[in-house]
Amino acid sequence: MILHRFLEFLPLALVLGASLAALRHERLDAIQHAAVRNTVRIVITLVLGCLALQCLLWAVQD
Amino acid sequence: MNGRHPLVAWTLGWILPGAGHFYLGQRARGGVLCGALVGCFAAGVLLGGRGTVSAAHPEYFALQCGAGAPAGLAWAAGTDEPSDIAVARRDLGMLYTLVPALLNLVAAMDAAARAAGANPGGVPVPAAPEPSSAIERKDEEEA
Repeated sequence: MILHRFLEFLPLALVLGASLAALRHERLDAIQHAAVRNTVRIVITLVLGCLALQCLLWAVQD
Repeated sequence: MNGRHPLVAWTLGWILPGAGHFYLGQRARGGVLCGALVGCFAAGVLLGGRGTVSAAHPEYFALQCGAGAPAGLAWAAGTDEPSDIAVARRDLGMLYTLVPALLNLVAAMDAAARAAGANPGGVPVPAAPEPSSAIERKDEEEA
């Protein structure tokens, strides 16, 4: 279920990463590299943020 | 200014994602923006059904109008569809249309800023290094 929800947001991370890369770089190869980098950063941030929130939730519940 | 009017760049970029950058001659940038934003918006409409872009929920519709022509086309397609689409799927479709609509407004503003002569987020080009040693200076004099 969690993986399902995560996969739903993955295309949005890709679109956001590609758009930000296109705004920053001009050449196509630079945009492609930056899009992958941005997407990975967004996904890592999302995962870490979700983990932090989950830990906070566990702490509050305990 | 580079001979392009910022208001025209903004309007074109709003009507069709990436068109503002095409107007400025930045085809790669415009193509990536067009593909990413229109593709995501279309995916949202396919996921949530035609009723995703509807004046029935004006607060979302106002934001979806940020996508320009794709939102207009989806709205013009009407909402006469079976109402058996799951709420979760409709919500996901809404999210997939709202995100590119808001990103398109940012892209249109970026096109307008570039038309006005700015280079927002640009990577600065490093200056050519000065010759430091006497050997380099001698080589240059000989050349």
